[in-house]
Amino acid sequence: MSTKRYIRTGETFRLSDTQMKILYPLILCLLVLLAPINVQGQAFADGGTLKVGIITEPDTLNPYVTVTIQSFAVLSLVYDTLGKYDTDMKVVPWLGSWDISADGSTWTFHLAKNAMWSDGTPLTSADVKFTYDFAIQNKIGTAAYYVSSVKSVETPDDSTVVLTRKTPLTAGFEQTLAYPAFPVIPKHVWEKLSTDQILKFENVPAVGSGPFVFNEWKRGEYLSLKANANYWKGRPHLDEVVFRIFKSFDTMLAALKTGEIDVIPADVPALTAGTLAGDPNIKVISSPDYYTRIFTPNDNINGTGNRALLDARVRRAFQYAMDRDFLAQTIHLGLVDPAVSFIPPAYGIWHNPNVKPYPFNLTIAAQLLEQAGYTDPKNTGVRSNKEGLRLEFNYWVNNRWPEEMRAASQVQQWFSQVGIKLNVQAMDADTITAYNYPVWKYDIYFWGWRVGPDISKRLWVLTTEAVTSEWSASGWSNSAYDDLWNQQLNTLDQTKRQAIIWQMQDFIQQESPEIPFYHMKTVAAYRIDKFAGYVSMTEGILSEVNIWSWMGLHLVTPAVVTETTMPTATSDNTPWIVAAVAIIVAIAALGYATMRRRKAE
Amino acid sequence: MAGPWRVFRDSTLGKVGLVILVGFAIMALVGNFATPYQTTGVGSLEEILRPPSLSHPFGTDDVGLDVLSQVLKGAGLSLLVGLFAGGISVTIGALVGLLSGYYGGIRGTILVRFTDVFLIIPGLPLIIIMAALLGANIWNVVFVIGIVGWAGTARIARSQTLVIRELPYVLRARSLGASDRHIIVRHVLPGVFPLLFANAVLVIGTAILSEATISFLGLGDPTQLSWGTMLNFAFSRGALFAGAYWYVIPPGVCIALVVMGFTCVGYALDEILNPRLRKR
Amino acid sequence: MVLREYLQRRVVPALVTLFVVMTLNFLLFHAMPGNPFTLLIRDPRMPPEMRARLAHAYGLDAPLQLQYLLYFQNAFTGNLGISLVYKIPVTALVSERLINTLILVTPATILSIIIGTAIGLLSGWKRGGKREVSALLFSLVTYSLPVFWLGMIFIMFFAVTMRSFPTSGILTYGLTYPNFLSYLSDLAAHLVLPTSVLTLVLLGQYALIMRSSAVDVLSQDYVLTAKAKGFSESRIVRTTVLRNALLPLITLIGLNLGLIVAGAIQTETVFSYPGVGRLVYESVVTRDYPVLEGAFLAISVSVIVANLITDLLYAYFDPRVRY
Repeated sequence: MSTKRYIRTGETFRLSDTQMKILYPLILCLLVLLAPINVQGQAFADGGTLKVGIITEPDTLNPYVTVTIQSFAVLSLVYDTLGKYDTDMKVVPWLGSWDISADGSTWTFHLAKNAMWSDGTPLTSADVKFTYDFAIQNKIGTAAYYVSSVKSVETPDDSTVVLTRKTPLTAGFEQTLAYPAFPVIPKHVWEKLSTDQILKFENVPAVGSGPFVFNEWKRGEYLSLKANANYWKGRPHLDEVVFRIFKSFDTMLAALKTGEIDVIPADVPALTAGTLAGDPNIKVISSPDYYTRIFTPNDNINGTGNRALLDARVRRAFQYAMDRDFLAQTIHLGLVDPAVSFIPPAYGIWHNPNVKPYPFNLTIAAQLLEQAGYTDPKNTGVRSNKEGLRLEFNYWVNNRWPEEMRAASQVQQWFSQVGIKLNVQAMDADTITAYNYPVWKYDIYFWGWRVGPDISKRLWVLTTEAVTSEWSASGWSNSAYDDLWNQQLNTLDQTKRQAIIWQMQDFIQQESPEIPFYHMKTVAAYRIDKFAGYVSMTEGILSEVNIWSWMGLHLVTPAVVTETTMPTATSDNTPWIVAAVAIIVAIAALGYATMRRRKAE
Repeated sequence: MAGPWRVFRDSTLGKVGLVILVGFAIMALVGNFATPYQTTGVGSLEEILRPPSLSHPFGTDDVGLDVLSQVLKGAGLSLLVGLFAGGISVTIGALVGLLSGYYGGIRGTILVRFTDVFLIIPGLPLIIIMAALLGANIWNVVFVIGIVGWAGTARIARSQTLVIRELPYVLRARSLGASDRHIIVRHVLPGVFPLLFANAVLVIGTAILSEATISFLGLGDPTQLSWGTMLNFAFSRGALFAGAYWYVIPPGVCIALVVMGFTCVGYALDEILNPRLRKR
Repeated sequence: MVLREYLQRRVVPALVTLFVVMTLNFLLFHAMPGNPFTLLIRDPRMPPEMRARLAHAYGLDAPLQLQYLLYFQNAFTGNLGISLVYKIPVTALVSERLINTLILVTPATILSIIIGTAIGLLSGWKRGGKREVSALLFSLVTYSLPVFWLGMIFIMFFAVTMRSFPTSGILTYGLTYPNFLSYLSDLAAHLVLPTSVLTLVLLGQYALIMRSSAVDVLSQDYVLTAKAKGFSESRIVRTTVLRNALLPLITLIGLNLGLIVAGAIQTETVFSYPGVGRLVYESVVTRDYPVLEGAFLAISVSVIVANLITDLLYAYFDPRVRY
């Protein structure tokens, strides 16, 4: 309806059409007159451009290549998946509904009618079959995981898909249907690509079937999507979504305060939440998430870190020597959950709430170290064992987390009280990764893990397979744990599976290969004066799994009155500007005149 | 050297600068050994970002630690980094400048060109790049600032060496067969030293500014406490956005005062010691 | 000396400097062990074919000397690589940002020269007065202030407390401008704070130079003569002080380029102004090494060129240079 032309930084200024100058007021009048008619018939008016503030930009829109969660958010809007997560994180039908055969090995999907690709081609079962075959055939990127248990896919007709799973069946198959990392892709676009070309394919503009259509992407500045007017489920209320990319969070917060953006969906810093919440037009909300920050020692037997870390008793001593409740309160202002089990409560029934916690107790920590053979008879402040191995560790903290740098300083103090010397160092993520796998050349580092709602995948990260495929964080390898993981994967009975998964968490707590600090929460801030309809669920109000907010967000007041009023450059600065320019010109003129006269003499 | 000390009698500028520097030296000493509150680790939830009060004259920071104590403690590191980095710069500069002034011909020309190049290359971007590549460590910071800022000193050393080289007693020594090393150490160096000293003072001031800048940009060593790292945490944790002016103002004022102190003393010394300016 | 000869003596060293800067760039980014490009391809989530492809694209599988030559060849054909973050050619990104920086830096430099000179004159003219002391104090203070800190103070005061000027960016996002004046007005509003900060920081040096030059000249004999002859003070100042200070002033501009760059980097970072200084900071944070390399090169080249220009100006004003 309304056309906006944006002047971007660096572009040359374009004068608006004189005709538009006449037309706009005319249109305005007409629409104001028609307004009552527009608003009457629907519950919410369609319209509005939602401006979302983000700091980390999507890396690419190619689902085979992308690894960032921001890309997944965009993919979830541009593409469809067969299912979606509802607000309880259960997988419900979306693009297709499904029947499951009695033995669970055959899934029959009935695709939605009228589904279309953004280039006008209808979406058929051939696209779904292609999506699976393509991933099976090419075996690259993240897609490989999603088809690992699929045997074959057939299409009896245009809107039916029959999927046969490999036996023995594995648990949690429906998880592969809902995560935006593996969407249904158009056959007619992707079939032309060879394996080589897939990795290079920018996929801009992306051809998808989702509720929004790719519009424009100016890297480093914004990414805009427009509503899909022909969406098979009915168009979303919003006209447009613009992801505005900010370089620093303080400018992003200022933009939220002035209304320049409408929402910051994640990563609102703890200390600023209070200031934001003081504004009557802004609400701050924190939602559970699958994101955990973890104190990660080098547990790899082939690694070159301090060998003391391979002793579980030392790691348990660490557990007693760090007061994570205290840190959650002071560093994160209580906006995170101190972790006991390494599996966050967000995983619902899979989270074991009965895992025995390690209370903060420096005395017990010291005792454990003594028992493990580390003593300090000469009172040097650092314990060592009979072979001379000292409890001195390099501790690397991601330099993008100033709050964790602060926490590290406190951890260093606690450790020194039990005879451990911690050398804290700020490191950038790339360097940490480089020393992580496959060389395992570090002592301890502090990291964050966010794997998504699939519990199998989260548990898999601690298996031996993860070590060899370079996904493991600590290099820890334990065959008992591996067995348990395989067991849970092959247990279809939910209660039995839960028991195994709970057992795994107890086991990890005992062995402590990694020490989780806190389960982060998604802290978001949104304005309430323009848009309403945010749905709160795990991972926040506008995440890659939350389709409900995106579909349900609408303008608070009727579209007509608010949207056709063009925002114009604020005029209250003009007198200042004019004055400043005048002064500058006057000074320059004076200086110049003075120079001229001097020369003339 | 009774002459230069006159600066602190005759020059107001020098006096003011000296007072400031002595004041901060005392602050650094005191702060290093005793502060009213702890300056490392984490404080308590209730104390986070409290505005100035009787118990905390400069308020508290993002983890509840007392700002005044940190200002006192941070003085030591800020000054030390400036001193060491400045020292490195002046040493390299003196060496290069002296040698390029003393030796003519190819060697001299190469050194001069080298100096000119480093005079032109903008310092801060180079410091930023090297700090980023080398990693966050206080010694890297000292090293990086030191090896980037020597060119100015080199120029001064060179021009002064050129003058001294032609002085009668030096020419006499050369004709008598004294070795280069002897002449440089016994004649040139003492002649160059006063000016270098004045320059060193200024260089230390700039080095302190540089450390504050790269610490603020997040390229310093956040595990150390300096005024620059204080400002880095204030900015990166959102204290600025929360309006915590008490966290932002004191470290900056200290940096400015210290640099001013060094600049005043440096300029005063320059006025006294610079033979060109001396005859007035 | 002849102008042509004079310029020759300036241009050749400039080219040498350029060569050294490019070599330095190469050494920093490509030749160090554990150099950033090798770190890049270590991302474990990247499939091995991709790593090999990236290694080849960055020429990491070629011997070092070849890489060196390739680097020069690429730089002179305008190929500075592709930004890892923005996925656009580095040259395009850097030139866009460079223009923004020039928009910020040029008025700041001009203003700082004018205001700094005025203050320096003021303080050197009437010695021993309150004016001298306060002017001197002012220049010393502004010279000693950390630029980024001054920016932070400005932001706190003007944005949070007084709310009169925008504290970030170059233009208000998403605005349509009904006319050119409102576009200028928006641009100028965004420039006010960063330009003020940069001007304040730069003027200290000019004030101090002007002051010592004024003090120097005004104590000369021919000035006393002129005073005795009854020439007005302002005329004396104009004819003697300004004329004599002109050359050192121009030299100072040349020497100050490093300070201008440092000031610009800090100002742009604090105010999120999309210039080339901020690009340096950003690319350090995001480890976008091609851009960092390109930005450093662009800044160095700009400084070399600016130096040449000031040398030209110097030659123009230096009475010893004949044409």
